[in-house]
Amino acid sequence: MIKANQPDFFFPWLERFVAAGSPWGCDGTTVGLDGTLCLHLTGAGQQVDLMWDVGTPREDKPTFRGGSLWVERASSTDPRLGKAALRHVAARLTAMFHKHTPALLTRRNRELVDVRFGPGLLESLCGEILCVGQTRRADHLLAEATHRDRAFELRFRSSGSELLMHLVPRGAPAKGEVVRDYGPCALCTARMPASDAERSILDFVGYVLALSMHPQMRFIEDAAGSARSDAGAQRLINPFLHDAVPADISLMNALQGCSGGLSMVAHSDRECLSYCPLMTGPSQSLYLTRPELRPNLEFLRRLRLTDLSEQAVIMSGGEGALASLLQETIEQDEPALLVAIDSCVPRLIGDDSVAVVQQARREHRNLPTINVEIRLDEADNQRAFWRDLVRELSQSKARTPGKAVNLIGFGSPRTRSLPELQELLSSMSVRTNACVVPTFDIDEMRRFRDADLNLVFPAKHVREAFELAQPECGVVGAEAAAPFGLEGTRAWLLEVANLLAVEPPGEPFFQQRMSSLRARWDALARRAAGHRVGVVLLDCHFREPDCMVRMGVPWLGCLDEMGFALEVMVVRTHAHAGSHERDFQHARQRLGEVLRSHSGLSVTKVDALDALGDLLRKGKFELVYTEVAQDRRVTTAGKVPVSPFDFEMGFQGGLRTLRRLLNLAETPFFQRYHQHLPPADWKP
Amino acid sequence: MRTLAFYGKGGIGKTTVATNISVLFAKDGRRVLQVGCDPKHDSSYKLVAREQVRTVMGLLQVPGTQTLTREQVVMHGRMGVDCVETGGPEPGVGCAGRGITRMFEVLGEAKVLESGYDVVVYDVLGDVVCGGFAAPLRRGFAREVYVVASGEIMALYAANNICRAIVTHARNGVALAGVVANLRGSSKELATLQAFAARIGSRLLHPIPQHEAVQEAERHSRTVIEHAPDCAIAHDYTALFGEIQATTQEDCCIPRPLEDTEFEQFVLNAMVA
Repeated sequence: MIKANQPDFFFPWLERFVAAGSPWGCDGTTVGLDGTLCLHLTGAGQQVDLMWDVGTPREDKPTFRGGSLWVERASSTDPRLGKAALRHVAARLTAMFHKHTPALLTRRNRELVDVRFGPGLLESLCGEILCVGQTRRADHLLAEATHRDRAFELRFRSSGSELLMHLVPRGAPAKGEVVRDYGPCALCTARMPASDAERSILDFVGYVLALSMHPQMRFIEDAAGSARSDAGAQRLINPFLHDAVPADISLMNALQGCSGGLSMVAHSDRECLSYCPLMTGPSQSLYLTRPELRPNLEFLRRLRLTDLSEQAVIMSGGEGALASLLQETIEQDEPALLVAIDSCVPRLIGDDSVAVVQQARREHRNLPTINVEIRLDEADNQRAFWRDLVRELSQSKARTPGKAVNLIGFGSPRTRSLPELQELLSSMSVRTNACVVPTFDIDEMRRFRDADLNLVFPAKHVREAFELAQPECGVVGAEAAAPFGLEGTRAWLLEVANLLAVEPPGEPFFQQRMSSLRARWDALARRAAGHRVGVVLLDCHFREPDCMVRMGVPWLGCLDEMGFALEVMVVRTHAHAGSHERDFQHARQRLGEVLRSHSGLSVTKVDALDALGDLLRKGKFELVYTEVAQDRRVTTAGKVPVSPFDFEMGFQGGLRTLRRLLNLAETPFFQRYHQHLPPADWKP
Repeated sequence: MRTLAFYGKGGIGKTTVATNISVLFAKDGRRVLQVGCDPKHDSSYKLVAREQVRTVMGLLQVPGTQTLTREQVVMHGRMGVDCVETGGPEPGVGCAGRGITRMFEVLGEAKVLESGYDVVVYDVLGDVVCGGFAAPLRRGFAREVYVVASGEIMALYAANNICRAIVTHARNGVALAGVVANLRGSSKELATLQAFAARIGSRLLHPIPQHEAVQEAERHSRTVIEHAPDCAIAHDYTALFGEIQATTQEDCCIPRPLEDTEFEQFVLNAMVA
């Protein structure tokens, strides 16, 4: 995970991104007091240093993203070397950093004029980058930031040294030596840095200040007060602070994972190219392939952008640009499917993208074309996308012998457990016709109607994604409890056989299947019996009919089947104590109904979240599932968090899940290192 | 530096009033800048020869233009009034509101407002239809707002709407300095305007009656003050100018715009009275 306020996490990642999959290596990144960032590149035995002035465009240098990017020095006199490096880095950075450019690459507060020079100065200017107790540089931590005696002190400390810096407003006497003057204030040090580490701290602080201030900014002494406040200071948004992918099913994920001749045209400004697909990669956390923090270059190759500029937005709109880009894409790519994606800005200025796309459709009647209209109240309108996809691509039903099923929401081709499910279905002579959601294959979509049943993964997010498409299919849709765990997979197969009216697999089939894994399962289950899993549930959840299933995964029943003893903590969510007591009793009853082994089950009532930390710390369990969102009590208590994402479908998937959970339970990572984590109430 | 913004219903005469007031400030020895916030770029029509008008948006469209200088942006108009024209898209495309916001960014970048002007007059397009047209208020550029209105219902309706925008942006130090009556000759017009100004908690400034000299001056692309300085209407503008010039903080207020039902009732009462 990249942390905005910890450059030593960020810059190596930036270097990897610039270098990955290219002939260029990146040996390091250094920052300057004047807001410049230097990338040290190597390629073909040559070296090139590229400078990026992140904050200010320079008259004599090529403009790049509101600043300038240029070749500072190259080991060869051949100008092509520098140009190649420049092109490469510009393309990589452009592809990667869009609307949510990481905080360390963003100039800020350009509209902020009056800033109170007081205790809140650091937060106003560069909150979330320079944070006391959090921001580290090498082995130094920003230990103190204090407003004192008309100056602002910053103290970076390590075990062996301390570096003291001062921010002094314009007109106030300097404190020590002035390192750099930023206009509204100067950065001073009591002593010059004595080591590389200290120099890097000074450079980093200066770099951040250069991005956070501008010459017209005025500092107002706190005591004097001001009619204008600094409430306009820019809050920083950093996508890298997310621990998990926010949405498993999205338009961008669908398009990124699509196989076949897809081309996309996005009608948007460059900033809006959507960082989502670049951040998440094609993988789906739900389907047990973890998100990859790298751009999918195939996705970028398929995507063209109208690249609306500010001037185009104001003066002409972008309909013409969209029309010509659609034409260019069709001519050059000869796609099997063309997807035009609208965005917020064209909609706000009234561009009629629908009419432009319809015109392209009229001119290219045989090309399936989908126009995705962005709606501000529904992230990317992906429900309409699935409907249009079915409508555009699926052709009339061609009857083929035997039964066929479309699996909706059971995973992408990369999902490990999908082949097993397909193989299990084929053992009942049921053909898997297509697998859609979260991704799709164009050829499969063409034959989508050639199925007897749409088997929908029984989770709300899948159901909602596909609900508009279902009526378009001409195929019956149905749900069956998802195939998790040994018994769950068996029940799923029987239910599918029932839905398709085919001969269900007999007992010999299951015995033969189980024989190959029963011994391993039993051995692992015996180990699991020696472990306990802490389960934190909210009392209100027991009022829901499917409270034992999360995102379609019957995780609680699976844990029980695997032999783990469960220690359930039911947290009060209502102020009224009587209501909590009723919910608690209801929870006990429901747990008793669902879980087959009651011997290892204990249920505890938790009256307040404050008591939960203590319970987690003292609990004799290694793994914890919690429904308290973003609760860091688990790791700070030294326990390992688990979630429905850790579960896999199918018999083999169940075995892998059991092994995974045991490995987690027996790896004392958090137990050993939890004391090094920030406290549970720390907020990013 | 005094900063005045003239708002009002489309076609009500904002530009005519604003330009004459700018000229009178200039004649009084002040350094005046008039900023036209309208894609039609006709605010400087009476001060700068049409073929010499250049707009901020037009200048930004020149390929390779990153920043603009004060010299590029500001036009030196007749009668000593400097002018800036925002410009913007052709009707029906693009986003004029964003253009106005961008123009204010350019004014900041080129330090136009830091060039020693005594008075800045913002002449803003029609009604406050979106955030862009409220930019002079939104960013605290204008402090005194003058609403130009006639006794016609829709003109009053627009004036009432503008008052709502002033309330919204009052935190920026914006206040209503008065209602300018640009009379159309309908019956009870002055009384209606006086009653309206009182209802919203403001004052009615010296009224400008209809006069053929205004049209005559426009045909010659001039202000009345320049074209017919001795005619009666020029004296009316001078009287209005006198009131605007004498306006102090105490004369400005946060208006109390009428609710829709109140407005309907007010209009009914005004007709009956």
